[in-house]
Amino acid sequence: MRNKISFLRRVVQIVSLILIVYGGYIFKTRLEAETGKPLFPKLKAPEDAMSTTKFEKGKILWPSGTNPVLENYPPSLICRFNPRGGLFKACIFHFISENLTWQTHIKYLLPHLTLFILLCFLFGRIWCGWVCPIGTVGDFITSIRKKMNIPAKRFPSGFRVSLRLFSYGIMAIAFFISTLIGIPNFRRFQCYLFLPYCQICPARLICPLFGLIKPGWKDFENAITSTFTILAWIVMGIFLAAFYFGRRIWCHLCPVGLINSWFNRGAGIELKKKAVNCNKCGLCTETCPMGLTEMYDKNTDGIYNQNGCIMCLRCVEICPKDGCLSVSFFGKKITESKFK
Amino acid sequence: MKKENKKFIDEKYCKILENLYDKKPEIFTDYKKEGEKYKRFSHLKTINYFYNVIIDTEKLKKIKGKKPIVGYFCALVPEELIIASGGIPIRLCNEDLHCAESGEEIIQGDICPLIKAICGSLSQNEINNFDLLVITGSCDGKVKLAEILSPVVKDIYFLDIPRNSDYKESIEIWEKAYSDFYEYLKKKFKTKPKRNDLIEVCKMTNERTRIFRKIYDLRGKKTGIMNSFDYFIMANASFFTSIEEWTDNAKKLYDEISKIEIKKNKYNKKILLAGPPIIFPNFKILEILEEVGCYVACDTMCSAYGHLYNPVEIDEETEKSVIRTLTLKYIAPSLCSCFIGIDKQINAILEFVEKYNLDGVVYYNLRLCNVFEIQIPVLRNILKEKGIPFLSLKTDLSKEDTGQLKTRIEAFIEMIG
Repeated sequence: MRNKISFLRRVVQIVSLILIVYGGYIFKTRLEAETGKPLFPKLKAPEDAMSTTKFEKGKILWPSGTNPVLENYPPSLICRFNPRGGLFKACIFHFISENLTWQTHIKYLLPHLTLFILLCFLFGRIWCGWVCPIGTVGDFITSIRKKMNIPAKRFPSGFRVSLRLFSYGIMAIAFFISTLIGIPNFRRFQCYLFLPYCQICPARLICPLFGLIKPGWKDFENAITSTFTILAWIVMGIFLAAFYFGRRIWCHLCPVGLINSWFNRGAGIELKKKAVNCNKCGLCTETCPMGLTEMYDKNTDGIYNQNGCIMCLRCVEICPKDGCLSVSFFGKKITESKFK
Repeated sequence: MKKENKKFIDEKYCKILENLYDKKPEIFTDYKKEGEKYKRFSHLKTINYFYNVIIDTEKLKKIKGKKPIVGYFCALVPEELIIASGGIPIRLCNEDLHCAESGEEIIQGDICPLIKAICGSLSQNEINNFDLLVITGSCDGKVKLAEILSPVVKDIYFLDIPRNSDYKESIEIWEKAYSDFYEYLKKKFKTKPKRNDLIEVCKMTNERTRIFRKIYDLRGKKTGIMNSFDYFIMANASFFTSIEEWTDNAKKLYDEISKIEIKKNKYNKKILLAGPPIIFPNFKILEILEEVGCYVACDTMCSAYGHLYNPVEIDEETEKSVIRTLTLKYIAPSLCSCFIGIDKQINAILEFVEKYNLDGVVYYNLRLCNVFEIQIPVLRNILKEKGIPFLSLKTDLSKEDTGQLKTRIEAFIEMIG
């Protein structure tokens, strides 16, 4: 098959989407049916967090109403939730924000953390290219554009750098708010300001589409929730436009990707280039969904795990020179570019 | 913006210039005799097809009439666009000594013999067979060729390509040049090719590249399975035949050469041949190399490697993206020294020397080709540093200096040891 890696990536993306959206449900039901015990310890919001919430009990509870996991999550019931399901948390941003606010005990976060560390230290920023559910949705939007014969927009590298800086800004604000509302004096704001980024993340509006849950598309209960909802719709618009016109330009803006990108250098997976085989055709840069150019620019052997790289391995797949680009995993070569 | 039936010289001057082309050359090269001469060296059966294509002087008349014929120069003109828009691409680069001599009637002086040969060959009544000539602005000679040929050729399209072959800086210009060319072809031939037609043609040329790469690789690894005449004849035949036909015959050829076991090798050295294109019947250098037992394991010339080695890797199946990747097939990896980017040439030489275990590099230069000559010191010094023997030769289309060249090559072989 011609595009083996791309095909594999599609499969992994769809499996991850199913796991992230329906995962909690699948794990919980199966394990409880077989052993009577849940796989992971049941998650509960700290007592005081519950008491300060202004929501009436039952209002944003799970439809069953019997298993109140952290009730005070965004009313949209974002990507990790499903009705009557457990928690299948995967997103690092959610994990950090939650911990900053409620200082949740580490044991509750273990599956969460293990997944993140495994992914990051083994595969670097593989989250964005292979796992992220909204990335999958975005790739689907991109494929619609391709079908409609509309060329992709390309952005200068300066624009990408400024998006990255902007992303740092979003991250700083989100973590600041999360920390602030964890301080006892400010706890009364928790019920509205919890997980600030999650409330505007496009996944808030997209992921409910796959679930059976009531989407929080028009949550205009008060000024704060209205602001968040409007912001979420604006971000959603940017997200759709970004994926429709500019391939993965969104991923430069996403703070989740930003955290993942710190692990790219030094990860187990390594993108290598053998400079003498390079014919400088520029296909690696042409085809890179993130628009990275380092692979083309430098004429030296070495590891090219750039910060922006989402490990989609499209460059390795498309490179027409045999053995020029290769992927190794802890020094062991997995695959290399070959004209098929 | 659109170039339509533009003459590069004003009509009133054209009339004066037309009688330049009246003179017919007296001597023609006997292609059949020349072909038979080189065919004798061959031990392959399936190579016959390629020789027949090359020695067939009537090949243009056979295909004339069905579809418009587009003649082009340089390996930088995208065949895919011509085929997709309904034309038949024929590459017209010529290195015939007699053509060069008759070309001398039109352009005198210290001009690249290839340009003279092209002028000479086109004055031989062949012009009327073409509906369009495509000339790239790669080197100075080609640029002026557009003007020189203007009085006699019906249509000339000038494909202007910047001298900077850096992907990041020039991709937009290349893309515009190619899409303008495509628009022009569509308008001229009154066809409306769909996106899938173009992609199908790209798949076809990729198939050709695939089989060429296999042969190239096998020749590099196994010394003596296919002599250099056969190889260049095979590559040159692709100028004139349809892609499918060439691919089918090349597949048969590959099947044959992959079964060959070489027991007693008449070659004692393996070399890489670089420089300006070698085109039939100008096989003087190859003759000498074969004579002294030098095996041309690979080349970096635009008449063989440059014409067939690079594939179109389609990124997104939108028309714009396909055209962009076409420029990345033809222009970006081009080893022509018209462009800035000698790194590519060095990379290619170092890669092949390492991969195929070569004994040295022979850099042949056609006299008066400045761009190829000017980079010789760069290559020589870099290859010296890497410990690769390097020989540069300067010659032209005539056979007068054969003895002298042979002495130099023999000395070089001795030096390698």
